[in-house]
Amino acid sequence: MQSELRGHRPAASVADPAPPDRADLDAAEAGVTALYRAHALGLMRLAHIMLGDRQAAEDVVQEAFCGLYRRWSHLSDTGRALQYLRMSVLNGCRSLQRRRRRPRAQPDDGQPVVSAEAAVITGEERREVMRALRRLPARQREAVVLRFYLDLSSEEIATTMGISPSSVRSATHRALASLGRMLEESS
Amino acid sequence: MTTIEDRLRAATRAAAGTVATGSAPPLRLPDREHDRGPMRRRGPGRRRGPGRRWPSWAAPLAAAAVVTVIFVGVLVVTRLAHLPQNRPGPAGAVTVPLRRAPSVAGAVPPYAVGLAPGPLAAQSTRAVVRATASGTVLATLTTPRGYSSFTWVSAAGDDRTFVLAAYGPGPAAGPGRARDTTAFFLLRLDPGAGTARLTPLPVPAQPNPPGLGSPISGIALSPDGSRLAVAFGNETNVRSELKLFNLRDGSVRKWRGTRNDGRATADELGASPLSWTADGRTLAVDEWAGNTINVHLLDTTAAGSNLWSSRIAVAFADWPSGSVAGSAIITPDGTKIIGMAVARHATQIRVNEFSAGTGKALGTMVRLRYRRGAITGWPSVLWSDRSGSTLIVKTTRLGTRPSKNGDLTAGTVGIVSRGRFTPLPGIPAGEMLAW
Repeated sequence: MQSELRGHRPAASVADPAPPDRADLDAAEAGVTALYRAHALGLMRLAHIMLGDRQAAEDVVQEAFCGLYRRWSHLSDTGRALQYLRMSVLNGCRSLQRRRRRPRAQPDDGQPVVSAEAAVITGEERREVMRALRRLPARQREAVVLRFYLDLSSEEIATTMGISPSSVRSATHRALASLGRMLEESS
Repeated sequence: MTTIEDRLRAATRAAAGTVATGSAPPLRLPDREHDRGPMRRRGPGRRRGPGRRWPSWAAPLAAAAVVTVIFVGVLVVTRLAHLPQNRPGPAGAVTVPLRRAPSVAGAVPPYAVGLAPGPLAAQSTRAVVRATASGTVLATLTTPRGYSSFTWVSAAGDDRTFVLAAYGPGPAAGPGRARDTTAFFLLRLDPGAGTARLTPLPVPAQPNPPGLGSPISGIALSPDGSRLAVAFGNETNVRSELKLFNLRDGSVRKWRGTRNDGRATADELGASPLSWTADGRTLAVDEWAGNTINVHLLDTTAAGSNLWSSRIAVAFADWPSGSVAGSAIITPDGTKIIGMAVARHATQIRVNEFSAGTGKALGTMVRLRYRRGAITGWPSVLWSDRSGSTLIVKTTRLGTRPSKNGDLTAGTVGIVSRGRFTPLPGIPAGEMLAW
């Protein structure tokens, strides 16, 4: 016991197979790291579209991967990890927006969004669309971003958002109608 | 002309492009020794610093606290085990307690049923019965076994009867069954007995076509609760369909859209509330045809099966420009069509009434003024009294801070009567609601 406390395993246990929890940890680390290499950039871009804030997007994505790491042994199908990550990123974006005392994009302040994004999206047209997009309710915004940015099907969006496909359709419809109206107003 | 969809694709992809390839920071996983998740392990050799030692009196105190928590927990679990369970019994019925509703001001129904999302996005949507006047939650029902979410709600004319649509594979899901279906349940509120009872309806669960998701775009229970109208729209420009289920004998009648002009939004049943006249004969159905919303009045007793051959009472043209926001309903007496409009550069929400007979505008019941650009979302009429003189409506406007579910909109549900809008502060605008 004393040797365990000091970090030295008893000789007999060295030859034993690795304890299951260590194996789980190794598998989780390997799996999550591989997923991060493959999908971190895409998820950061998704979070950036939702939040308009690069640093916040990085934080949300990091937190999503940490959450996946903690729950790795509870995933019934690791093939659905990307779906879990997307869901976590969207939840994280929602939570962050909830914590902010004021929305980052004020709709009627008449000022352009000042960010790194603004420097690259030179077209006023695209800035208008992004401003209008961020004025949408969270559910509508998520539905149209998943549909038109990620090109997901209704079923995939429904699974990611935790709502029914009919609700996805409804949210998408209303988002497009609202966007049409807002863009019409601003033109 | 570039569509909104194309503009969205271009803008989101341009925004995404500002996060350059290779710019993702290194992954920072939690320290294994500090991991508090299910895979927690104590690292070997970890020592507590002197400052982290517990005081000598803390251990017995903690032990006492643990014993108290266990005792209270056992007590709560024991009591909960004796409460009515919100799960179907052998006959598929669920009964939960219903609290008394306080009296309601004005001539509006006392009970509102809303579909509220769970605390987490992935959790089931619940049905919440609230008192209209105060918003007090009187009963909460979770989805029946086999269903993940309630998706639609509609009310009969007696203020006590509702129909809920639930989405999921169903209780008997198996390899031979459709993967996901929409099933219908009757919710009966019995204030005398203090119960809210949910029972399966004798309507076949509607399977979702592969790859299309649920095609249902609206439901409406007839005022006498005997028939259920279910609208089916879809995203692929296939014919729209309306099914009318007789809840007494299980029969069904169908109408189909037959016109198809090839436009992406043509021939689609809108995701707007269907509405009945009080006699249960006429159903108002919104058709989204390009930039026009046609409000059809379908005589459900007349012969014929062509949905779009029914009379158009009002055509709201060019709706994206802000003239009309849709969600129009017919008053129970069948004399008026009432719709919400966003006007004057999104600084006004108007409640407008039109003659159901001639389509002529009759006037504006109320104007709600906001600062420029403050209105977003989709205002709608949720309930009307017999003549349309008292309404329950939902306004939408941009809030100064996100709501609990993250929405930036801060809509308000309220009563419109005699040219005034009176908010119902306890009714959440973010839910699908029915009275």
